[in-house]
Amino acid sequence: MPGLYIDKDLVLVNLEVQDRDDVIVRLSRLALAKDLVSEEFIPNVLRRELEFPTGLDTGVPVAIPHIGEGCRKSFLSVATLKSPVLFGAMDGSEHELGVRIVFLFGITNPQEQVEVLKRFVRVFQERCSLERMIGLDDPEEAIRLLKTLLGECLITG
Amino acid sequence: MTVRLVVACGGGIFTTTVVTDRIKEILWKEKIRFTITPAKITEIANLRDADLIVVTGKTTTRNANNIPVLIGMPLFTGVGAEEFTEQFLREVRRIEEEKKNANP
Repeated sequence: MPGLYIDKDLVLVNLEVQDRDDVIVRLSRLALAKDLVSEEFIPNVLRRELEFPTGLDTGVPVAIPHIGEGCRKSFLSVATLKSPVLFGAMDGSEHELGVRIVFLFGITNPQEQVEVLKRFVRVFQERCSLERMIGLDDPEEAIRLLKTLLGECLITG
Repeated sequence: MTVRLVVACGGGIFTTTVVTDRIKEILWKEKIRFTITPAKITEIANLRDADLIVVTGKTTTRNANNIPVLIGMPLFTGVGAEEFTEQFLREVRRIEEEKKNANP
């Protein structure tokens, strides 16, 4: 089914983490607890981030770790970070970016998710939406904001 | 003449999906005939049977068969998208022209 699943348990606000891998593992474990992914998802997504970094130099730097292997149901999880965490830039510049928001995805069938992915890319370009998201301290509010940005492409649980 | 494109990124999901979609929109609008195939970045060095490769991610790879490689990140982030689109269309038109001349 098209759309990405999200619920309040998949959103962490004002999170304090040690490094990139720490935030990726914490978000992945939330998905694992909901059976959205299998165990293999975690090493897969970590390896993928190492080989092909996903930091984006958007108005507010974000990272979008994502992978299909080990994902059972397409979902989105989000962490806003208390202080910036370094991620490699996706554009191949070898730069590191101080990322403020991590959107971790599992996508089982990308062809069905074109619309949500396109909308997401628009959100990355809206500095004010991302800044609002960083300011929120309640996961439910974060989901409401994402819902207004992504519409029916986001399936809230 | 049909222009054969390959779009490649690391895992072949997110950026490939979005950039492929953008490229289709651009080329439909310009009424250019094309085929588009996804690939992994690790495959681009030895690709054959393509006219142009668009990569969305980290690479310094060149294609061993002299197929041009463009970095398509602007279509994903939107930053520099217009400039990229112009450059991309110039390249596609050049390829069309070349193919026409090769098979009149």
